[in-house]
Amino acid sequence: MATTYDAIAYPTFPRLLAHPGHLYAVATMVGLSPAPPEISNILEIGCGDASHLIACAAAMPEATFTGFDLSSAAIERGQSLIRTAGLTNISIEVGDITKWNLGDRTFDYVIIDGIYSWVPAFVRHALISLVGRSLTENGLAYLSANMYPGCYTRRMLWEMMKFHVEGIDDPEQKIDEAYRMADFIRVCREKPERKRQDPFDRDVENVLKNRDRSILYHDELSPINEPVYFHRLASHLADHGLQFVSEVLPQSMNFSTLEPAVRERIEQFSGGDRIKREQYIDFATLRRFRQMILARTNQTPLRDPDPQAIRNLFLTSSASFETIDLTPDVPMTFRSDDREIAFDRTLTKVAMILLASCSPQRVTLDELLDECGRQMQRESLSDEEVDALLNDLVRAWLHGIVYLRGTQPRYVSKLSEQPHASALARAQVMAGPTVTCLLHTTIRFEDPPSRRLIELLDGTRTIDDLANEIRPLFPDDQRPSPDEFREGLVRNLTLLARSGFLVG
Amino acid sequence: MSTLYDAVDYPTLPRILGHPGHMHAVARMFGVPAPAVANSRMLEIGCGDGFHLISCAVSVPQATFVGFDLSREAIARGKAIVSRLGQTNIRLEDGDITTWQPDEPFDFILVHGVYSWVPEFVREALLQLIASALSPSGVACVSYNAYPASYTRQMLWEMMKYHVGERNDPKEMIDKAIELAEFIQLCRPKMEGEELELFDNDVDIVINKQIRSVLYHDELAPINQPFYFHEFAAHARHHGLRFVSELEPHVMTNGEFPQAINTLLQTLSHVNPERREQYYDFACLRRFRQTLIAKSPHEPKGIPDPHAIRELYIAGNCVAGSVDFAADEPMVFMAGETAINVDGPLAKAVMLVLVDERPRRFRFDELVSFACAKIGRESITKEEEEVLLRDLTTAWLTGLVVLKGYVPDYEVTPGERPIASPFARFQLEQSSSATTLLMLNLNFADDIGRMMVQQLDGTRTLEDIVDELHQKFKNETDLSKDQLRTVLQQNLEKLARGGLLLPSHAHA
Repeated sequence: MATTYDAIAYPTFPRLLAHPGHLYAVATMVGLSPAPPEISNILEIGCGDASHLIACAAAMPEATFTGFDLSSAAIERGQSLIRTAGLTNISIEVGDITKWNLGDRTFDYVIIDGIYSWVPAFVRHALISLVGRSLTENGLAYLSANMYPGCYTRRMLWEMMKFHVEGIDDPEQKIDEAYRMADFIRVCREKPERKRQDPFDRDVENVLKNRDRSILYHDELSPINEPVYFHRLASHLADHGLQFVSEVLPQSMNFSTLEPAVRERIEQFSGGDRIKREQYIDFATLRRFRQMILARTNQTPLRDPDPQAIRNLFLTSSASFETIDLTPDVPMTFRSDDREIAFDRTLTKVAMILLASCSPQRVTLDELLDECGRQMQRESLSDEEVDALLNDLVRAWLHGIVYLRGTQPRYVSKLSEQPHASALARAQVMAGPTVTCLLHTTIRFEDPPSRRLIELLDGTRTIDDLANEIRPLFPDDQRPSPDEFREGLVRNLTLLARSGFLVG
Repeated sequence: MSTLYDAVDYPTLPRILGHPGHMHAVARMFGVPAPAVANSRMLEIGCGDGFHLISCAVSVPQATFVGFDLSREAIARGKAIVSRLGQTNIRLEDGDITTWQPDEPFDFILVHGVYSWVPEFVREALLQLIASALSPSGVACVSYNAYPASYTRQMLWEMMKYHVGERNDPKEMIDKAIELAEFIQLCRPKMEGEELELFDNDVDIVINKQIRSVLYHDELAPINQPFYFHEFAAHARHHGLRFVSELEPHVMTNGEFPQAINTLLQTLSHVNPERREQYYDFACLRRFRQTLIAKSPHEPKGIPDPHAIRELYIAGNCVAGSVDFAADEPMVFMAGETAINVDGPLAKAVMLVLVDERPRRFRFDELVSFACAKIGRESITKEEEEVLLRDLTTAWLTGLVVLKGYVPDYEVTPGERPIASPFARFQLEQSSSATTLLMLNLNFADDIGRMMVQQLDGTRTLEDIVDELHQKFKNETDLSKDQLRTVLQQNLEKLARGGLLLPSHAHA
């Protein structure tokens, strides 16, 4: 069956927040016992070309992956990549949510991204029913949806653009006209007395500046785009034996960042009811989007994260800091994007500095504690100290400064004699510039010499072999000297190794 | 049948824009040959207690007014007032939009605050009723909540309704709604760039300004369905009714948009008046509309006809921004945030006459002769007249000048024993505001002014009233009797200019 996704392909990419290892970590923090992702059964409904699922499959060879999508063009692209990469633990097929044959299979993880709000009501119902039937007892699902009340401001722009492009058949022209309409609105909003931009203006600007043409076509111009109130979604889930567990992004479930007076009212209004509480949080923040973890209703997630659960997970952080001051009770601030948190315990500060310095590598709590002890020249750390550290780490996690992961992919972080990139990475560079690391992040290789280099990282060539083969590919006037080139190559490969790009 | 409106009264206020004299003028400007107001027939669908319709009936005594509403209590209140006032040109009835039948066609139909607030089948019946009750050259005005900007309002409505939940005691519901709005205000980020101007204003209005009963019937209405203009226009068309104009033309034109936007707008909308109207709403993020529709078979031009002004009355609605009349430079005239430059002695004189004589309504020729007197001329040329008509149209479209299709008979110079509009006197029994024959709502801040108007029943001279009020208020005011007389005299003259007094021939 042909879909709008056959006419304009939707760019799919691996999403760390929808990775089973991430779902595992968040669910573990709130007291659930999900299946270890590395040996689990994973389903993605509406997987597109399976970029996400394939990247998961390459990093977790003992897990089994199944995906389906209505777009046959997308499925064909995905299947071709699976063949080239030689992956045997994943199978994807063309399938329709309302008819897909689940059989007696169950899945530990079910991923549904960008579907719920963008399909007709009957498909939405079939979708949640399918999740309800396919999840194992302790299974987890990832579900994203556009939310009210916040989406009302977005809807203004969607509908204005859709009104303007109505009756235009050619997708490319449709997209052009939608940009034109957004630009018209931008001009209309530019009045001398209005100095500031508000969230609506930013939506307009986002469309004009950052929106990829094909995303604009499939999201903003989607014929169906039905945001939902959290309490309605929750009752839809309940009809199928499912419940909301948590947001995937710890900072978006961070109740503690709300003003105390706001928190107090939310507690008062919701009277201990979790669904009401979430609903009032959405009101308080005018939420427009959710990425949720779901579980069966027989599971009982904790209201607040359990610091001890960190012992079963991996820690990583991309925090930055300005000056190091380990003096007790002197606060030291750690930042990540626009988020920040300050700590004054020496142990926490040391731990944070260590996590930041080995980013993006993931470490266990024991590894971190050992290294902290060494740095602080301490034989052992007391239980009280460790508990205090765990509490601080939970806070850092809820502020989006520390990340917790459920898996440790197998990769080599130091450059070997004969570097070896994953089979997937080598298959991906043949198809396009985007390549996925084992840590589930992506890197783009735009120029032909870089892409050729990735292809050659098959574990049979030494650094010198690689240098000799790649250097001649540069045009005469841009070719560095052999020594310079080798030096640059080692530097770049070392960086790639740290990012989880090499398996040998 | 008992309605929500029986539980909590909805305060109805007379509105100058809903007067047939206003609808007539807008219709004429946009090419609909609306009938003369004086002997016309007007229907208000969903008239509530009929306060608006009663005030229209008082100001146009020869016309016939019919109103109906589903709320028996509101109609009973209205009927009691009608019979107290002895007003014979108005009929208020219990009635249901889905079953009510007109006896004769109506020239003006007003439906305010109904379309968005009734179920779909009633909306459908409403347009059917308008189509069957409207005379061939009549106009109807329908108000509704409009998209796109009603989406920001919808956020608040829905959050309040969620918070109200299953409660059904009106007082409790209103309390909960305000509680939620206060919660949202507490949550709203104070950070730059996070303000949503319209939304934050709405929240503030609910907390600080909203009349509780309005909150109950508008924000908390079980049905409150906004529409895009194009959806409403298509619905009207389906019933053989076509778009004429917005009831407030100056809201329609976006005079404040720079030329560049207007040009862009023309291109985007392919110069189709109805489409252009929709793009205006996009451009200014409209949230409410009062749309005039008619049966007229002509396609709308969407452009007003300056020559129609000759058949209408003109009044000022602005102040002069500069006083240097003689200077060889343009003068600025302002209404609210809108301002226009007026150039040339004649145009300046016309605008000044309108400002000085406000709210007096002039015929075009009369206005021209006043202006000529000001600049010492006998007459104006045909070309000057054309230019003037165009300038007045522009001033109208920017809201600086109002056009009306009717001048009520009222006393400009108070006679010996003045009579204030009986409806105004009735209004002042229960509130501090009163509607004049010119449909201006006057507010009385103090009791003296209010009581003076109530005494103006044709049996007392000003001196009688001065005596009475001086006696009554001697302990509360420092004014001497002479001072009081001066104050009352001045007030009376001002009120007379505002159309509060019945004509002297009504003294019988």
